[in-house]
Amino acid sequence: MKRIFFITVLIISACTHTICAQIKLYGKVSDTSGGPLEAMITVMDAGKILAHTLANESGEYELSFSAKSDSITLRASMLGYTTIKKNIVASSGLFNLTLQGGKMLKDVVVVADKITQRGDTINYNVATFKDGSDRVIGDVIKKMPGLEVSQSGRISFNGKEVKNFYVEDMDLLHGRYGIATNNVSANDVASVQVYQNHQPIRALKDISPSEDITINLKLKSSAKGTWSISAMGGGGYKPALWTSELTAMFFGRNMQNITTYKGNNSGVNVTTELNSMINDNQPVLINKAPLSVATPPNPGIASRRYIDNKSNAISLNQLFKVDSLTTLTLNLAYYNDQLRKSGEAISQQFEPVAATYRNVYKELNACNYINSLSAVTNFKRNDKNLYLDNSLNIKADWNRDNGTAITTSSFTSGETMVDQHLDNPSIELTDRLSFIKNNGKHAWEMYFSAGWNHKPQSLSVGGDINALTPSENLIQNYTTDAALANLFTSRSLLINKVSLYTGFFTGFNMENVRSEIDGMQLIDNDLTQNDYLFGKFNIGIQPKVSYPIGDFYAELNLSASYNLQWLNDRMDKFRTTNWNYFILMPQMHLTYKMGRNWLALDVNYNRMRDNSQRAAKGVVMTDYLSFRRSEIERTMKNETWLTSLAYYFSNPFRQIFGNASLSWNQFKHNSITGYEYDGLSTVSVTLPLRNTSNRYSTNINLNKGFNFWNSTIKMGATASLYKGNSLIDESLFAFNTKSWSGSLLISTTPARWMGAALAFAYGENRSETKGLEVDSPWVRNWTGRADFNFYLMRNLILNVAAEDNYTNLTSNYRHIWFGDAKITYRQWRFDWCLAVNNIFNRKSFTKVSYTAMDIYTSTYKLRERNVMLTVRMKIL
Amino acid sequence: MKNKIKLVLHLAITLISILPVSLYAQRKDTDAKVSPSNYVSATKGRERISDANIRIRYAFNAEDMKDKSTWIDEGQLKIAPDMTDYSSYFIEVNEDSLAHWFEVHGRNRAYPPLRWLEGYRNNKWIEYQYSQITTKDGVLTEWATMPRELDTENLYYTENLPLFDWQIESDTATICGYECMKATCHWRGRDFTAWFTPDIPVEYGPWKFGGLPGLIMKVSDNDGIYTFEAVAVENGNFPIYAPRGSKYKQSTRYKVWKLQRDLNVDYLKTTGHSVFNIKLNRELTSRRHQYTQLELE
Repeated sequence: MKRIFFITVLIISACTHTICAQIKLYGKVSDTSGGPLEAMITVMDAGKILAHTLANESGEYELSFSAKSDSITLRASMLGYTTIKKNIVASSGLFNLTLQGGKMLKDVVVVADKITQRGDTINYNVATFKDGSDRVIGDVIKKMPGLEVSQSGRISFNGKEVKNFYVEDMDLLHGRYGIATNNVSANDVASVQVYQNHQPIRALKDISPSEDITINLKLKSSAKGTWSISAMGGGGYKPALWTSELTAMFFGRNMQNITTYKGNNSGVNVTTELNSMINDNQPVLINKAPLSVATPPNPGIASRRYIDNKSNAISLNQLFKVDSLTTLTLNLAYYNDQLRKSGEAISQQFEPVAATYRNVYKELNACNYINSLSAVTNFKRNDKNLYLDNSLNIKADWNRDNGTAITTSSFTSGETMVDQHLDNPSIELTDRLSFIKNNGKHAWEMYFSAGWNHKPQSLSVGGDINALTPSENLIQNYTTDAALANLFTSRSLLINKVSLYTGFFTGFNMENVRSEIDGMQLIDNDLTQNDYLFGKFNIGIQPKVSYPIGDFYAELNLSASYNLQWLNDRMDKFRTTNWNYFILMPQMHLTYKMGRNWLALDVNYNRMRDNSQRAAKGVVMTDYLSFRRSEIERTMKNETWLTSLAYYFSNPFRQIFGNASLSWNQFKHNSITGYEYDGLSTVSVTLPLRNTSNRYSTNINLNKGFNFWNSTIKMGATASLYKGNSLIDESLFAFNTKSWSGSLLISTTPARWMGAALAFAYGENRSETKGLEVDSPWVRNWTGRADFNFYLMRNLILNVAAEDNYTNLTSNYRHIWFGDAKITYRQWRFDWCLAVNNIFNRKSFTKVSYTAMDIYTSTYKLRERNVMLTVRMKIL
Repeated sequence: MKNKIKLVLHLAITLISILPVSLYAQRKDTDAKVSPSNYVSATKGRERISDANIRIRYAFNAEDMKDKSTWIDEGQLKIAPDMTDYSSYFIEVNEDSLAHWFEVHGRNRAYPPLRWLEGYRNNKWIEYQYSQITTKDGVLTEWATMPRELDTENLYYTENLPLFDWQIESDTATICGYECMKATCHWRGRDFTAWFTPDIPVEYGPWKFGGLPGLIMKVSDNDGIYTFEAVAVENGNFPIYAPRGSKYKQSTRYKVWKLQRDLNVDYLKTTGHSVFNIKLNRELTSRRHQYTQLELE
C-alpha cells in the first residue's frame, strides 16, 4: 500500500514537473568591454512576459519562473544599448549576455507646442508649421503668426522690422538674409527663434536697452557640422526656357558657409535675395545718378509673369569663428543679367491753363544689361568690455541700357521714334568702424565711417524729339563723385538707472558734378553744362538721457550742431559761396510696457537747410522726354515733424500677435518742385513757394494661429489721408489723397491630403484737387490668390493656383485671371517637378495709377503659357 | 405585482451601479490658489542635482489631447543614471521664462501679470502638479509644494519605492510612437491599468508609478478619474533641480496626504483663512465640489 502511494506521488510529481517546470536562469550582463550593466532581463513566451528582473550592480541576474512551452525568449535591454533577444530551450542554465552600446531612443513628440515663449525669446516650432509643399525655411516663416514677410522678402515681427538675422547665433549674412530664407531647407531647421529687445553688443548690454528684433534659425543637430549640397536643373517651352541652381552649405561650430549659384531665363528674380534687408548703418553717400532709359513702369504683379531675363547670380558667404568672441565674415556676390521689358504707357497730364488733359502715348522697349559685383568683409570682436566691428564694402557695377520709344500724343501730329543708349557704370567703397569700451559704469562708444563713389553716366538719344534739338543726336554726360567721413563718439554714464550720454559728432559729405548736354542749342551755351562741388560739414553735440521708471521708459535726445555748406561753381568763375547754420534736432521716445504688451510714443523734429539745389543751373536730360534745371537763388528749408503712437500686443500661447498705430507727419518746405510742359517733353522746375503737407495714417495688423486645421490667419488694414500741394505750369494746387486698404491671408490644412493658402488684398484711393472741376474717380484694386496643395500620395504633390487681379479704371479686362499648376514627385534624393505657368495664356496686364491730377496707364507684355520640367537633387 | 417590484429593484440597482461611473475626471475645482512666482523663486535656490539624458513628458488629465489648455498639467519624467525626477513641465517653463525676463529687465521691474504658465485654470493649485517626486537608491521622496496661503508650510517625506502587484496581460497598443503592453494592478485603494513599453527598459513611470519591465507610457485608474499619457520622448540634456531645499519641512506620507486632501475639500477651513460675508451674515466656506484622491489610502 505504502509503495503504491509512493509511486503515485512520484508519478504525480513527475507529471507536474513536465507540465510546468520550474526554471532558473542566471548569468551576467556586460558591455562589449566587459563592464557590468544593470540591464533589464525579461523572459517571454510567445509575446507574453513570464518574468522580469534588473541585473544588480555587478551585472548579475537570476530569474525563477515556470514555463509551458519548450522554447522561450530571453531578452536583455538597457537604455543606450541595443536590445538582444535569445531563443533558448526552456530549462535552467547560465546565460551571459553582452550588449552593444550607442543606441538612442527614438525621439517622439506627439503634441508639440507650435509657439513657446521663454522670457523674451519666442520659439516657432518649424515641424508644426511645415507641410509637404514647403521646401525652404522662407516658405514656413510666411505661415507663422506674428512674422510677416513682405514681397521683397523683408521680415518683420509684429510690426517691427528685423534688425539681425542669425543662423545658429552667428551673423553670416549681414542683412542679406534672403540667402538663408530662400536656400536653407525647411527640413534642416528645428525652430525659428525671435529675440525681442535684443542687444547684440555685449559691452552695451546693461547700459543701452534695445528694442530690436533678432531672428535666429536653430538648426537640427543632423544639419550641423556637415556639408549640404543640392543642385537643380530644368528646361521648358515656349520660348525655350532653362533654369539651374547649385547650393552648398555648411554650419559648423567654428565655420559657416552658404554658396549659391542661380541662373535662369524663366523670369525668376535671383537678385532680390542678394539685397541687404536691414539698415546696417553703412554710410550713405548723397549723390544720385539721375539718367535713365525709358522703361515701362512696374505692373505690380509677380515678376516671373513679365520679366524677360537671362540671369546668373553667384553668392559666396563665409564666416570664420577665430575664437568664442571673434568672427571674420566675407560676403561676395556677382550678378549678371539681361532684362528685356516691353509695354505701353499712357500719361494723362492735367493742364490747368486749358483745364484739359494732354495725353502722351508711348510704346516702350528696353533692355538692361547688368553686371554687378559686391564684396563685404567684416571683423567683429564682441567682448564684455570691448566691442570692435569693422565692415568694408566694395561695390562695382558696369551696366548699360538700350531702349526704343515710339511716342504719339493728342496734341502733336505723327509719331516720333527714338533710340536711347545709357552707359551706367559705378564704383563705391565704404567702411564703418565701431569701437565700444565698457568698464562697468561707463561705456565709451566711437563710430567712424567713410565712403567714396564714382558714377560716370552717359545717355545718348537718337531721333527727332523736339524743336530744341535740330541735330540727330542728343548726348548727356553726367559724372558725379561723392566722398564722406563721419565720426560719432559718446560716453555714457549710468547713475541710478538713468543713463546719460554725451555724444560728439563731426563729419563732411560732398559731391562733385560735371555734366554736359551735347546737341542741344540753347541761347546761353553755359546752360548746357554743370560743373560744381557742393559740400556740407557739421560738428555738434548730442546729449541723450534715458530713464526707466518701472514699466515706463523715456529717452530724450537733443542734438545741436553747427553746419557749414559750400558751393564751388566752376561755371560761375569758380565762385565759392559759404552758408552757416545752427541746427537743432530734438527727439523723444517713450514706451510703456504692460507685460507682453507695450505702448510706444515717438516724436521727432527735424530742420534741414540745403543749398545743393542752387548748384545745378545747367539743363540735364534725365530721360528722352524729361529735362531738369534749377533756377533757385535761395536756401531750401525743410521742417519735419514725425509723430507716432503704436500699441503692440502678443500672447504666444494663444498664438495672437497684433499691433495698431496712429501717425501724423508734417512737412514744411519753402520751395516746391513741379513740371512744365514743353511740347512732348516735361521740364522739372523748382519755385520758391511756401507750402505745408500733412499725412495722417492709421494701421492695424492682427495675426492668429489656430490648432484647428493647423491654420494661420493674418489680417491687416491701413487708412491714410495726405494733404499736399502740387505745382503744374507755375501754379500751386492743393490736393487730398485718401486711401485705404485691407489684406487677409489664410493658410490652412483641412485634411492630411490637402493644404490651402488664400490671400486677398483690396485697396481704394482717390485724389481730389481743390478749385478744379476735374472728375476724380476712386481707384479700386483687388488681388485674390488661392493656392491648393493636394498630397495625392506620400511623395506626389499637386499644386493648383488661381489669381485674380482687378482694377476698376481700365476700359476692358478689368479682371485678369492667372492660373498655374505644378506636380511634384519625390523619390529618394530627387524632386521631379512639372509646372504649367499662365494656363489661361494672358498676354498683357494693364495697371492704372493716379497721382495728384495725372493718370498713368501702363500695359505690360506678359510671358505666354509655358511648361517647365525641373529636377532637384540633394547631392549631400 | 411581483414583476413590478422586480423592475423597480432592477432600476434602482442599475441607477446605483451607474452612479460611481458618473464620477468625472478630476479637474482643478479647488479654491486653492497658487502662490505667484517672484524674483527670488524664479532666480534663486535652484540647485542642479543631476543631469538626465532622457525626458518623457505626460499629459495629465487631458480633456483634448491636442489642446494643452485643457490639460491640468504636462508632467515630465527625467531619467538620470543615478535618479529620476517627476515634476511639472508647465511650471519649469514658466520659471525659466520668468528668470530670463528678470535677467533682461532687472529685478525691480514689475513682471508680466500674465505668466507663461499653460494649462487648465493655471492659477489654481493641485497636488499632482505642485508635488515633485524623486527616486534615488530605492527611496521615493515627495516634495509637496502647498498653495498660496500655506507656502511656508511646504513638506517632504520619504518612503521605500512603492510595490505594485502588476498583472501583465497580452494586449498591445501604440502610445506616443512606442509599442506598449498592458498591465493591471490594485494599488492604494484603486484599480489601475498601465501601458508600458519594453523598448524603453526602465522600471519607471509618471507620478509614483513604476515596477514594470519597461517605461509606463500611460496609466489611468479604472474609474477614469486620473490619467497620465506620454506625449513626448526626448533625448538630450535635462538638468534636474532640487526643490528649493530649506523651505521644505520633513513630514510623513499620511500627514502630507491628509493635508492635500483637506486643502482640496475645504480650502478656506484648512488654511484657517476665514472670510466673513456681511451680506450673508456668515463665514464663507469653500465651494463644494467632487473630489477624490488618486491614492485612496
